[in-house]
Amino acid sequence: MGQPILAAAGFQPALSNKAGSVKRLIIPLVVGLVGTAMIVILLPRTNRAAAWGLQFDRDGAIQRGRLLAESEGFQTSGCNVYVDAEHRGQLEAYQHLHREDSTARAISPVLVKVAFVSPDRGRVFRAELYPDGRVAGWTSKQKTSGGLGPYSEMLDALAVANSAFDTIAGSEAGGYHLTTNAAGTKDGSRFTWERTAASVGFQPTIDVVVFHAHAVRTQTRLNFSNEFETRLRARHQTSDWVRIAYFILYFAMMLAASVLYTLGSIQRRVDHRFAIAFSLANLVFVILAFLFGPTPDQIRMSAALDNDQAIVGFSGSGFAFVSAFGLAWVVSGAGLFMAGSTLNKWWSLRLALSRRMFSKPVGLAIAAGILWGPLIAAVPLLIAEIFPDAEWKHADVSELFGRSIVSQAIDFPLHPTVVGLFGILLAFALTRIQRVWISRVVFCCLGLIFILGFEGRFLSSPVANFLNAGLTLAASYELFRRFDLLAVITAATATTILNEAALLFLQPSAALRGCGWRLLGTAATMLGAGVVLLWKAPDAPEGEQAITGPIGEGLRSARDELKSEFSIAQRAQREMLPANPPVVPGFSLSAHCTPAKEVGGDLYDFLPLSNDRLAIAVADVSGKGVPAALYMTLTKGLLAATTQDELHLSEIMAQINGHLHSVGHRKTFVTMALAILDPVQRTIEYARAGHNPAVLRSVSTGSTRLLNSPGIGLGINSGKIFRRTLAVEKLVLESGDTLVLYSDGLTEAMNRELEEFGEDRLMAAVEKTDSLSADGARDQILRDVTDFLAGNHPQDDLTLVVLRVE
Amino acid sequence: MQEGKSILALEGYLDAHTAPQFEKAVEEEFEAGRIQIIVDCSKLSYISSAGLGVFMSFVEEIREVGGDIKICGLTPKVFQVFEILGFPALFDIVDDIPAAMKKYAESPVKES
Repeated sequence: MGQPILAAAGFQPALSNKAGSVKRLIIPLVVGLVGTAMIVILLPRTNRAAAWGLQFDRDGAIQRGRLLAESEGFQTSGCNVYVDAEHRGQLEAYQHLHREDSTARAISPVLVKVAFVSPDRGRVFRAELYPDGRVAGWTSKQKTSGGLGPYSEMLDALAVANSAFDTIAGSEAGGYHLTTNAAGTKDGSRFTWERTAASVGFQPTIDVVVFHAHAVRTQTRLNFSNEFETRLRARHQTSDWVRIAYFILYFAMMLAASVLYTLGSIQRRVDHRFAIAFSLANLVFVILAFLFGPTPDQIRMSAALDNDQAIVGFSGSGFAFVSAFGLAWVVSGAGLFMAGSTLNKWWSLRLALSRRMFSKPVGLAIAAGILWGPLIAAVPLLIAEIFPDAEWKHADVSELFGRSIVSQAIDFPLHPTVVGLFGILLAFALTRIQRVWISRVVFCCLGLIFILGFEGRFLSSPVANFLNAGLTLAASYELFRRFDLLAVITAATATTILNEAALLFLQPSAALRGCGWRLLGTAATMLGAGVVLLWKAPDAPEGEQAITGPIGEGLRSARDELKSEFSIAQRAQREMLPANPPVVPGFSLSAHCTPAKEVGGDLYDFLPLSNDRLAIAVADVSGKGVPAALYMTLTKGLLAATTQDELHLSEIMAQINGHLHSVGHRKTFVTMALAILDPVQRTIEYARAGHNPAVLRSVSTGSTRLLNSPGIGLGINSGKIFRRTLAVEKLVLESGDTLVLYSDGLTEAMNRELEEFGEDRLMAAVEKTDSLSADGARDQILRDVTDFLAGNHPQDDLTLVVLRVE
Repeated sequence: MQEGKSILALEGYLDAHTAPQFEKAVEEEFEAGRIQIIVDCSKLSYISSAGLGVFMSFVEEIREVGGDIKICGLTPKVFQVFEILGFPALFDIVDDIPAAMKKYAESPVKES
């Protein structure tokens, strides 16, 4: 008894894959553990003073702001509340350079702002808080009749102002002296305190504006000397240059991407459906980050206090939307175009954005990316350890006061920086530049510019900056090499999450630390989802091959060498097909062939015979790849040789059959449809050796039929049965008739619902082409197949030859 | 096995991945001297050219020693593939296993 042949309804044996795929997570798991250990060891050693020391979260800020407002006589009930935070980099840099300046250190670079705005915007109170909860200032606007008030109130005003000054200056009050007493402004009387001691470059002043016995506006102004500002600018020069280079590169990439996208569209090699899905996904993330981030609060807060800024805020975010959307569209299209022709690293990202998102390759890429995150997140901690004096620029502090830090942390995972760098620039460097070392150097330079330009972290030390960018690039590249683009994108998201979580853990506020745990939970959930997909989800066709392949690796592996040899073979094979069909007066001819693998087994040819006759052949070798291609070459030679001998059609076929049978081990065979056109008599002789029946469309009778004459495949039988079985059909052609020869790759082209295109759809497609030329008919049929496949790729070689009677 | 005849049942997809298993099974039968083979394709849902190649690679050797491969139970879709390639002229293709048995009784080797 033979064992039953079992194969799942897929294309790969699924059983052996499960263990194999999960095994592929071992290295990412080790990397993840190493990265986590580094974070756990290094994080407590970082300079906490540089991490702001926030003692409250969004709710805590609102609570503190409300207390301040009420104590200043502002009723907060019924008001809308907005929270924002500001980070003043200049002051931070000053503090870093002048650690001995206690007055400067008493002013924190971070300012948390809480605004209470009445629904009609008539009443506004904005509290400004330092991270440790001290009051930094406030602005109060209420509908009160104007005027400065009587002189008696002016005396009280000084007392009110003094009390407000004490609140703000705190223990440093002794360092200031009153310089302006009750200057009249449109808001009320202004009192100004200046710092007493002469300072190197920092001269803060504290303003208090009193109106009707209330301090309505108080603030600390930061005044730096020109000398200090020049010094600061000089230090930032390197990063300025990198930033300019980054923007030039970025826009050059956008431009190149647009060109590639257009080219790809013309050549019909761009998957528009994917490009749109990619852009929509991108847009969803941008909108989420926008809605739950600090931007809406910032806009409303400034709208309440100053309407001009609100307009700027709105148009700025609008621009971000448009550019994110447009860019993603162009970038993805170009990337896919390149990926289709060169690298397969876009594959699982493409799956993730299709109906097949629940599949193993997607799970593998997500899980590997999340596991890789800690290593990349540990890089800046490591650099901070090596360069303790380098100024570590953390993420934007306003993000910690958004409505949801979680959605904020996963904003923009499809960021063009990652997609552009790995999906496009790396692909370009590795495939278009022949010399390996040049392609590596190009990638390293572009990568450094990209990472430095996007997130220059250690501002005071260019060396630390370069080391940070270099290590980040190396860690990401290794992940990309082992997996693919989706893994790198996921790792970038995981890194953002971990960076934000690490920052939260450095804060004294328990509520913020809790938020850090929630962020880690998000990463863990993503990891879990990835592992579950990898374990349980079905495999997708071609999946393992796509994600396993070290294709696109800078160090060209043996597989790449083979691939390049394949591409030579592919070119040689393409050149073997006629470049243009011959011109036959009164007829038009058109042909097309797409090989499914690098080298294929399909063949078509036009061979001139005596009396202006023309042999038209379409053949298909069983099997695929190199062996099939060798047989295809042999068949082409046999065709050329036998047609030269002026044989009858059945004799041509029988000769080819005999030769193929004698060289073959009979497992390989060739099917062929052969038609001999006599343009003078307007006749066709046709025979079919095991090949798919040709389609004949007659316009005059309105009929479409399959030319199903008997005949067995070439090379199967030594000759006797072949000759006896083969029948030659003779047809008289009329104006408008169409003969379509094709390979089974056309009728067996399968869509995602596992339906085949089939003979009926082919005949229907041919019927639509009555008014077209041969070229037009060919394009129409191919378009019908492409529409039917709806983005699926043909599994087999696809060949089509159209003959049309004019 | 029935009256010295081997029945090989195919199931699912017979393509480049699974053809070697089938090939091995036919080879084992042949080497064990069981040369009257019936291939039951009633559960075969797809066959590729590699699968068809297996039928062809053995049939001549088997016929030389007086055996045969008879095919039964083809679904219409798989039959279409056999038919296009001209297999009905090369192999006895019948409806089911009893019909294949009967065919062996009538003509042990396909007449050509």
